[in-house]
Formats: sequence, structure tokens, C-alpha cells
Amino acid sequence: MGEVHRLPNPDEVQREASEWVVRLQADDVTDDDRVRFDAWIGAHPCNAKAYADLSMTWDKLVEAGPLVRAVNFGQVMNAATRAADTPQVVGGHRDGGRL
Amino acid sequence: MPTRSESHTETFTKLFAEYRGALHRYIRRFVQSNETTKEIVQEAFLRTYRELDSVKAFKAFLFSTARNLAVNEYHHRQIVETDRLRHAGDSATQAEGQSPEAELLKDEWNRLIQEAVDRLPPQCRAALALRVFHQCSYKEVADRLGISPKTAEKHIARGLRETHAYLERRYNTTRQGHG
Repeated sequence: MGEVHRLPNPDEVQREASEWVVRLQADDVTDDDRVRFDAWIGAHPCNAKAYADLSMTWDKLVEAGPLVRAVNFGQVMNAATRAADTPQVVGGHRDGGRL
Repeated sequence: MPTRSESHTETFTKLFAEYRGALHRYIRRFVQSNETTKEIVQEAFLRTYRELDSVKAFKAFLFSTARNLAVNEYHHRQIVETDRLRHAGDSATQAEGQSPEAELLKDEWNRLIQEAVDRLPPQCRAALALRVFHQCSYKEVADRLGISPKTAEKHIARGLRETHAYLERRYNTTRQGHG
């Protein structure tokens, strides 16, 4: 009734959704997390949509796992180790190349 | 002597006759409807025709254009279907898993996912890979990378988010076609 709902910021929604996807599969997920998740997802249709989208991408990642792992994992660990050994490179290493 | 555009058309007609059947069979493996296959084949030829001057590897361009169209078509239907299933409150969303379309989709997804993951910053990429591809707990990820479990969790969430955004962008780009 004339009530103005602020439209959620899409980047913020995506960020929250990604954090929920990851939090809910944590070993230390708590009842309190689940209660807060229920409140969050019910708060706006955008939240539910973003959560569904990101869950789908997560499933796709898991599905692609064996193939991606085979070709990529060595590089991944090397890169991460290099990054950990290299002090403070602003902007991070994007050694995967750009499109 | 034929004019340039006549020879252009002639070349195209010849190539059309040569590849139409093979392309149709190729796409038909992935697309259930014959009608949709025809549309995709036609559209792929049309796009290739438009680009004929700049296309060096005709067959490769034609087939990859058609394949992208088939994937877009499948992706679109998958979104619609997923929405429908979610709205119906049905968690059995794996129904498409065995179809030939899914095989094509899998190849495309794997390639795109690979690209997306490659673009992540190293620690983020490693955290995501350890979690998703090696089923490590956050604690294990943290130990391997020498960071706290909370930071590992943040990296994984960011990896997921950026991968998702990349896939979205790529699909939007390919959906707009080659021009």
C-alpha cells in the first residue's frame, strides 16, 4: 500500500547468495545460520533467484570437477603457492590469461 | 566473368550443399527437435554467410557457430526448466542428465568453467578447486593454503560468484552471436 521497497543491490545480493551457498555446506553450519538463511531468502524474491542461480552454478562446478581437475589442478596449486610466497602484489596474479 | 558477389554466393551455395547434411546430423545429436535443429543449421549458415569475407576456416566457423546456438538453446531451456522445477518445489533437477544434449552442454560447460576458474586470483582459485574438485573441508583447504577456515570460505564464495558472473557474461555474449 504505497510502501516503497528499496530494490536490492544486485552485486550485494549475489555476494550474499554466494556466501549462503558456501556457508550452508560448511561442517560448522549452525541452527542459527539456517534461521538467518530462511529469513534472508524469504526477504526478497531477488534473494531466492540469486540463491537458485548460484546453487546451479555450484552444481555445474561439481559436475565438471573430474575433467577440470585433471588438466588444471597442478597449475592451480603452483599458482597459489607462488602467490602465497610473493609478498603483496596489488591486484593479484591473473596468470590464467585474459580473453 | 562472375561478379564478386556472384562468386561469393556461388561459393556459399557450394559449401551449403556440401555441409548442410553433416551439420544437421551433428546438431541433431544434441537437439531433440528436428525443427529446432533446422533452425539452428539455417541460422548458423546465415551467420557464416554474413562473415564469409573474414572467415578463414569455413567449416570450423560454421560448426562452432551452430554448436554455440545449440548450447544457447539448451541453456535457455534449462533455465526455464529449472525455474519450473524450483517453483514446483521439486528437487529432482537432474532429469536432463543423460540426454545427448546434456553431453554437449557438459563439454561447453567444462570448457567455460575451465576458463572461468583460470581467471580467478590464485588463492581464490586454489580454494575453490580444493573444495569443489577435491571435496576438501574448509579446514583442509585452510591448512593446505596456510589461511584461516573463514578466509578459505570467503575465497570459495568469491570463486563461485566470479565463476557465475563469468559464465553469465559468456552466455550473453554468445547469445548475441557473431554480429
